[in-house]
Amino acid sequence: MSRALYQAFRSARAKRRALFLPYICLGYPTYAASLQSAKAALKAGASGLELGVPFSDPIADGPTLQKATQISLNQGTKFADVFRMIGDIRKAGFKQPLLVMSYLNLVEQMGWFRFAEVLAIKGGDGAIIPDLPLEQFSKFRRILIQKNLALIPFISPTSSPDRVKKADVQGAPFLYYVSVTGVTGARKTLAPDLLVSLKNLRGKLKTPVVVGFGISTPAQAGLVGKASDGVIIASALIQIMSKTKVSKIGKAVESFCRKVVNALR
Amino acid sequence: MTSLPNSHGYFGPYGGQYVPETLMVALRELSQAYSKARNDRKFKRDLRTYLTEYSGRPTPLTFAANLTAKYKGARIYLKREDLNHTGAHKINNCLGQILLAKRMGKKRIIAETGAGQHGVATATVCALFGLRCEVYMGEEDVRRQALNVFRMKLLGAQVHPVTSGTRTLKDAMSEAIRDWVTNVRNTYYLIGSTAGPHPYPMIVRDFQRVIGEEARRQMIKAEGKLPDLLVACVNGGSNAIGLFYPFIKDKKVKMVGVEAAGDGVKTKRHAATMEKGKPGVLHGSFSYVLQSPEGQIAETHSISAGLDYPGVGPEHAWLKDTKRAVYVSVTDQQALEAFQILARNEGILPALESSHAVYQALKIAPRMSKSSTIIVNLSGRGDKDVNTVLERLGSNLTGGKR
Ligand SMILES: Cc1ncc(COP(=O)(O)O)c(C=O)c1O
Repeated sequence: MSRALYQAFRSARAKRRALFLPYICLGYPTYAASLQSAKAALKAGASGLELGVPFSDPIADGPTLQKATQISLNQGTKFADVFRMIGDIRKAGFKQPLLVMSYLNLVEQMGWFRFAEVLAIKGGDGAIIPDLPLEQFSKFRRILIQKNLALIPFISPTSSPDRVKKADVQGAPFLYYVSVTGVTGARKTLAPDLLVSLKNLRGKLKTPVVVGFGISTPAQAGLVGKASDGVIIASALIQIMSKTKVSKIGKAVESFCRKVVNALR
Repeated sequence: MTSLPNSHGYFGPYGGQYVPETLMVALRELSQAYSKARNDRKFKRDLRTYLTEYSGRPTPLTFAANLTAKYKGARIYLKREDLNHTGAHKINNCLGQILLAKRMGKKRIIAETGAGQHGVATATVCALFGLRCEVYMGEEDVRRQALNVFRMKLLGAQVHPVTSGTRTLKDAMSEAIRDWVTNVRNTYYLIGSTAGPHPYPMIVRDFQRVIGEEARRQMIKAEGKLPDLLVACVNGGSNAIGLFYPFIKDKKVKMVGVEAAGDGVKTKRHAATMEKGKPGVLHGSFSYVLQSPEGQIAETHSISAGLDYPGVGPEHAWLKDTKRAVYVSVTDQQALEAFQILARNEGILPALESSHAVYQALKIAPRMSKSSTIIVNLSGRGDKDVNTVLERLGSNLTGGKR
C-alpha cells in the first residue's frame, strides 16, 4: 500500500537519512536468484525495492540492463512472475515497500484495472512506468489510487519548471529524478552539476526526491543521499550479480547493499 | 473532418508521446520549431527548391501500358519515387527534416535505418549540409543490405551496427532513441517513417504528401479524373501516407496499404502489423503492434528489410479503424513474383518493398473496369535488393520469358 511509502519518506526526513531503493531485474539470472537477491537486499536494510519487469524493447536502459533483460526473457520470465515475487517476498516476512517498474506496453496489455487489483492483492505498493508521460498520468494514477497504490512521476535535468511543478502536484510519495540525460548504466562519476541541481530542485518541491540512473558506488550513494530523499541503484548491482556465481549471488547483493545502507547513515 | 493529429498528437486513440521524461523537452522544441517552419515562406521555398533541383521532383507518373494490356482491367499507373535522388521516397522527408534541423541549430544528426534507404538518404542530406551523421542499423540488416552500408560510409556517415534484440529496424530505432536521450541537447533525431512519438508521424507525413499532391495533378492531367484506387506498401507507413493523404477527403478514391506477409500470416514469420497486431505502445506511439499476448514485441520477418517493423504509424491505424483505407498483406514469394513481372514487362526493377504493392495492384486490376485507374506507389528502386533476389531465385532464373 502506498501508505507505507509516504510513511517511509516522512520518517526518513525526520531522521535526515535518505532511503535506499535497489533495483532487482525480475528473472535475472533466474527467478530463484532474483528472489534471493531481493530478499538479501531487504535483509541488508534496503528501504524498499524497485522490481523491474523485463521488456523486449527497453528504450530507457543502457547495455547492462538490456543484457539482463534479454537473459531474463530467454528464461521465459512472464509479467505474472512479478506478482509471484511480491508474494514470495511478503511470505518471507519483509514489510518494506515494493514498486513494480515496467514499460507501459506490458501494463497496457494486462489492463490497468487488473494490474492495480493484482498488485494490491499481492502486497505491492506502487508502479514506476518510465515511458508514461505526465500528460497521461492522472487517468492511470486514479486507477491505482483506488487500490491505495502509488504511481511515481519522473523528472529529469531537461524538465522545464512547469513540468517539474506538474510532477510535484501529483501527490506522489516521491519523484524519480533521473540524474543524467541518458539511459540507465553505471558511471564512474556523478553528473557534474547533480548536487547543485538537487539542492535547487528540493527548494522548490514539496514531494520527496529519489535519484536514480548512474549511481554506482556506496560512496556516490552517500553523497547523493545528503542532497536527496533517496537513491536507486540498478546497473551497478546487476554488474555485481553478473560477476558472481549464482550460488553466491545472495551474499554478494547483501554485502553491497549493506555498504550502501551504511554510506547513507 | 477536422485536421489530424489533434494538438496532443492523436489520430483518434492513436499516436501520442510515450517517451521518457528526458525527451519531452526535445519533442516540445521540435513541435514548436516545426509549427513555425511549416508556415514560413522561406522554409517552404527552400524545401521546394531542394526537392526539384536536388532530388529531381516532380517524379513522373508512368502509365504501365504493358501491364495494363496484360492484366486486362484497370489502367495501371506507377508513381515513380524510385527516380528520386538516392532511389526512394525517403529523400523527401530527409530534405524537409534536415532544413528543420538546421533552423534549430543542431549540429549532429542521428537516424535509424532498416533497408538502408533512409540511412542513405540521411547520409546524403548530411553531406549536402555539412552535418555530422550517425546511423543505427540492426546487425542483421547490415548483412542483408551491405551495399547500402557502404554507400552511407562513402557519404561520410558513421554506421553503428545494433546487436540487441532481433538486430533489425526496431532495435535500430530503440538504439537511436537511447542515443537521443543521451545527447538530446545537441542532436537531431531524423526519423525515417511515420513512426515514433508526436510530432514525427505528422512531420514525416507532411514532408511525404508531395507524392500524393503530384500524383493527383498528374492523374487529372492524364485521365481527366481522380484515380479509383491507390496502392502502397506499408512499414512505418511514410510512402503510403504520402500518397494517401491528399486523397483522404476524396471518398471515392479507394486506398489499400500492403504489409509484408513474409512466409504467410498463418506462420510466425511475417510483419503484417495491422492484420495480426493489437493496439499497444512501441517507440513512443500508441498504434497497432505485433506482440505477444503479454505485450512483448514480436519478432518479424520479411524478405524486404524495409518492411519488417513490428509497429505502424498511428494515422494508418486510424485510417484502418475508420475504414477509410484497407490493409492487406503480400508474401515474400508473391513480392518476388511481382518484382520479376515488373522487371520484364516494364523494364523497371522495383524495390522489394514496392514489389509488395505491385503484387496487390496486379491482383486487383483484372477485377476492375477498363475505364478505372490505379496508382501504385513505386517507393524505391530495386538495385539494393538484387543480391537478396539472387539468393532467393539463384539458378532458377531463366532469361527470355515474359
Ligand atoms: C523503397 C522503400 N519502400 C518502402 C519502405 C517502407 O517504409 P514506409 O512504410 O515508411 O514507406 C522502405 C523502408 O525502408 C523503402 O526503402
